[in-house]
Amino acid sequence: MRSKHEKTVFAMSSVTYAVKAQSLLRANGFGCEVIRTPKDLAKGCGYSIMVIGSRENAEQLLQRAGIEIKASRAI
Amino acid sequence: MINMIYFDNSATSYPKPASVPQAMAAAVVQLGGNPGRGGHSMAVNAAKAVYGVREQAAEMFGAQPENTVFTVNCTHALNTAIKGVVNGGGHIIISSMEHNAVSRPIYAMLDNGVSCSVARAAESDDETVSNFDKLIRGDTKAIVCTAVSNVTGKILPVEQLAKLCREKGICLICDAAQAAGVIPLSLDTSADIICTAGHKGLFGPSGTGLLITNGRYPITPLMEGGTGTTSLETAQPDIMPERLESGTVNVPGIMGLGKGIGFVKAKGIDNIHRKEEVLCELFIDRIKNIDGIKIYREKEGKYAPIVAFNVGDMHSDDAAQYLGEHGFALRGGYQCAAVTHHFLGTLDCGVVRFSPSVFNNEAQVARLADYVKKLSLF
Repeated sequence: MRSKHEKTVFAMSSVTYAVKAQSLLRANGFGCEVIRTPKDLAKGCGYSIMVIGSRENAEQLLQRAGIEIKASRAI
Repeated sequence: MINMIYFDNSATSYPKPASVPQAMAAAVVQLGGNPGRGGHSMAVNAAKAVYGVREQAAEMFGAQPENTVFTVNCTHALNTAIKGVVNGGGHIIISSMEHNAVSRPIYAMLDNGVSCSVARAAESDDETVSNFDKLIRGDTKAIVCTAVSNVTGKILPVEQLAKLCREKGICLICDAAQAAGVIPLSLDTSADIICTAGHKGLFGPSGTGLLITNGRYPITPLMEGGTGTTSLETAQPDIMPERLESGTVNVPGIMGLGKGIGFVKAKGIDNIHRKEEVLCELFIDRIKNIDGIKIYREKEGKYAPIVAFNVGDMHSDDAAQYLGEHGFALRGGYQCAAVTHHFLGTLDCGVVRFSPSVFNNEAQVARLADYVKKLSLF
C-alpha cells in the first residue's frame, strides 16, 4: 500500500527527457508531473518529474527506456 | 487568396492544409511560454506541445524523439550535420546531384583539412553505388547524398548507399528536402542522419526543418547557447536534442509542422506520391511531342514528382517568366544546384522545374501544358 502513494522526484537531463519520462510513466499507470528541479537535487536550471507510485518500479521503467536519472529523492 | 496555379512545391509547398495556419495562430495565443525555460505551467505546456511534434516527426523517420532536432530549415540541418560530423577534417563524398546546401558548406571547409570527391549519379543505381564505392578512402568520414534531386526529381539509391556506408563504417548524411513526405525514409534503412525541410513535402510553414539522427556519429554543435538546462556550466550540454537546439525554438512553426506531418500521415505517403506522379506523367505526356522540348529524365531512371524541362533554346528564366505572366508558378534558372547543372550540361540555360503537390489537379496541368505549347511557338 505504501508504494501506491509514494512520491519521488527524479531529476532529468533535459525537458525533453522529462516529458518523455512523464509520457512513459503515465502510460504505465503512474501519476507524474514535470517540475523544475529542486535546488537540493541539482544546481542550475533543469527539469524533474514528480512521480506518485512505487519508486523502485518507476526507476526500472525509466532505466529500461534508456532515460537517465540524474538524481532522486523521496518527498 | 493568391490567384495563381502553383507548381513550385519543390521550393516550398503551397497551399498548406488549413490545420497548419490554425495551429500556428493557436500556438501564438495559447502556448506563450518558452519551452524548457522556467518551471511555470506555460513553459511546461509549451515544452509538452513541442515534444508531441518531436514524437510525430521521430515516428515518421524511425527515430527516437530525443534524436529529432528542430532546425530553421534543411540548409541549417545539413550545415549542422556535415560540419558537426566532419569536425576536425577528413574526406567527404557527395553525389553529382547535390544542392548548394550540401556543396557550399563543404566548399567552405576545403581549406581546413577537408577534401571532397563527387560521385556521378548514373542511370543505373548499381553504377551510382559503384561510383561512390570507388571514391572511398581511408580518411573518408562521410557520404552526403540527396534522396531526390531538387532539379530533375531523380531518386538516388540511398538505401544501397546506407548498406555500403555501414559496411565501411562511414556516416551517411541524407538530404531529404525533396523526399520527405513523398518517399518513405527511415534511419533503419536510409541513412545515419536525415536532414529535411519542414515546409516542403511535410506541409509545415517556412522556418522549420529537421535533423534526425540514429546517434551513431556524434555531431559537434554549429551554435552554442541557452538550452534551458545546466545554466551554470560554461560548456554546451551533451544531451540531445538540446545540444543542437541553442536558443528558443520556433514554437508556432513547430505546431504548424505537426499539423503538416499529421496531414501527410492521414493522406499516406504512397497516395501522395501516386497522385503527384500521375500529374507528372500527364504533364510529360502533353508536352513530350512539342517541337524543341527537352525533358530531363533518363529512360531507366526513377523519379520523384518533379519534371525538369526546357523549351527550345529559350533560357529557362524567360520561359518561367512567360508562364508566370500567364498565372503559373514554376521555377526557372539553376534551383541553387550548381553541381547538378554542371553534370546535366545546363549551365547556359538552367531548367524550368514543374513540381506539383497533392492539391493540384489534372485540369490545371492540362492548362499549363497548353501554355508550354504556345511558348514553343515563339
